[in-house]
Amino acid sequence: MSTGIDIDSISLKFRLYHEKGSDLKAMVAGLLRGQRRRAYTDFWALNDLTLNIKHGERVGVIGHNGAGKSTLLKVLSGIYFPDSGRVKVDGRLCSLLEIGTGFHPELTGRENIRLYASIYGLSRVEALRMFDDVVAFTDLAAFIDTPVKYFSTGMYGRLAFATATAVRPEILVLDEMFAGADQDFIAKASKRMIDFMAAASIVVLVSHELDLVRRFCSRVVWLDHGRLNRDGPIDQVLAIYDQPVQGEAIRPQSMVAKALLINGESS
Amino acid sequence: MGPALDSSRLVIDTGFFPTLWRYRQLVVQLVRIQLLLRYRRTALGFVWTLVNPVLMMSVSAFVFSHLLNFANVQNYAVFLFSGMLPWMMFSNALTIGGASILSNEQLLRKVALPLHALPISAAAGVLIDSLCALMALFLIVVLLGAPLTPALFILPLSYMILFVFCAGCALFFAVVFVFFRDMQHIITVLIQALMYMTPIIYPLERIPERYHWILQLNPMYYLIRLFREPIYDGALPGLKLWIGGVCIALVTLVTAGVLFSLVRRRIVYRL
Repeated sequence: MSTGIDIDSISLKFRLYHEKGSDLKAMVAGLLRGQRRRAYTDFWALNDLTLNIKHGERVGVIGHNGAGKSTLLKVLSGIYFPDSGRVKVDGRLCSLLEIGTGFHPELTGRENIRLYASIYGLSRVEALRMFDDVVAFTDLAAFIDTPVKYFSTGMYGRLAFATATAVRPEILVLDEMFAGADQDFIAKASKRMIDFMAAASIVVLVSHELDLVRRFCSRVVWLDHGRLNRDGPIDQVLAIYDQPVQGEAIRPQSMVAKALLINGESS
Repeated sequence: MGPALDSSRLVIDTGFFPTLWRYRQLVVQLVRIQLLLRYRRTALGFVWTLVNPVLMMSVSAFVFSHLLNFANVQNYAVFLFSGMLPWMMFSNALTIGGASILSNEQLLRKVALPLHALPISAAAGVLIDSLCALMALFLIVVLLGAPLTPALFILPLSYMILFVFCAGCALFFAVVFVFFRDMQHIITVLIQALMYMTPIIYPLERIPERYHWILQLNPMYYLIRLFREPIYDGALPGLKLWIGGVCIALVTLVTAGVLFSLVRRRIVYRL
C-alpha cells in the first residue's frame, strides 16, 4: 500500500489563557457586570499550511522556536485538531515526540513495556514480541521486574529508547528526544535508530540539528510563524536558511541526534 | 534479534465503543495499574482489597448502630453493607474516574489516546474492587445470619446497571474537571452530602414521609435498592425498579458520551 500525508490549508489557533481553567469567581463577576472579560489571547500556531508528503519521502521540518514545528507534529499525530483545513494520513502512523512517554515510575520494566504497547494500540502478541526485543537489546533482563524508579538515568534511557524503537510504523513522526545516555549505548543505539527509520515508508523529522536533517532527509520544510516559508530539496532550502541567532535557546543535543551522528563519524 | 513489531495502529477516531474495543489492551493495562499500584509492596498486598472494606464497614456498623440508635433495624450491619457496597463504588468512580484525564495530562499531551478509555477503565477498576469487597463481606454477612436466598443471583444484573451508571458519571466528571478545575475540590463534599441524602446508613422510614420526594430525586436511591432488596430483604426488586435503574444508567452514559464528543477535541488544549 502506498502511504502519504495530505495536509490541506490547515490553521490552528491557540488560546493562551492567562489563568488556566475558568475561575468561577471571575466568571460570576463578569456575568454580573454584564461583560465577558477576555481571559485569553489568540495566537495562530499554524496558519494556512498546505503540505503534501508522498510515499518514500524523508522530510525534515526546521524553523526557529515557536515556528509551529511541534504543533505540526501534534496535528499529524492526532493529538491536536486544526481549526480549519483538512489532514489526511494514509498508513499506520506512529509519533515519538519524547522518549519515555507513558512510562510510570512505580511500574516495573516489564509492566512499562506492556503499558507502552497498549498505549500505542498493539495487541497482546505484539506486546510480548516487543518485550523480548527490548530485553534482548537492552541487556536489562536482571532488572526487568524492578520498578523503573530505581533505574539509573542510563538504564532508564536505554529501556525507554529500546521500547520506543520497537514498533514498526509505516509513517514515522519524530521530534527531538531527550538527552542522557552513556556513550557505549549511543554507539549501539545508532544502528537500531537507523534501522527504525529505514523501515518506515515516510519519515517526518523535526530537529534543530541541521547535520541530522542533512543526513536523513532529502526534503526540508521550513516553517516560520506558523506559515510555510520554504519547501524543497535539502540543499536549496538549507542554503538560504539562517541559523538560529545567538541567544536563542538551543536545546541540548538529543540522545537520538547523538546516536545518529556518531554513525556519521565512524563511517 | 531485530525489532519484531509490524504494526502500530493509531487511527483512534472510529466511534465510542469500537475505539474502546480496539484499545481493550489499554483498558486492561489501566485497570491492572489502578488495582496493582495501590497495595504494591505492602505485606498483605491484594488482601487489603478484601480486608479494607470489611474493616471500614465494621467500624461504621458499630458506630452507627450504637450512636444513632438503629437497634430496631434488624441486622443493621447487613443493612448498612447492602447500601454501602453500591455507594462506595459510585463514590470511587466519581473521584478516581473524575481525576483520570487530568492526572494523565503529561501523557495525553504527547500521545494520541482515546480519552474516554481513561474514565471507563477507572470505573472498571472500581467495579472489580467492589466485587472483591462483596466476596469478603459476603462471608461476614453469612456469619451474621443474613438470609441466603435465590434473590442473590440477581446481583450481577444490579452490578451491570450500576457499572453503566458509574462509567457515565466517571466520563462526565472527567470532562467537567478539565474545564472547571474547581469542581475537583467541591466534589468530595458533594459526595458526602449526597450520601447523607441517600438512605444508606438509615432506613427510609426514619425520614418523615413528606420529605421522601427529596430522597427520590436522587438516582442512587433507586440503584441502591437494586442491591439492598436482594441482599438485605432477600427479595427480587420489582420490574419498575429495574426499568428505572436501566433508564438512569443509560441516560447518564449517553449524556456523558454526548458531552464528551462535543468537547473531546478541545480537551488537550486545556490540560
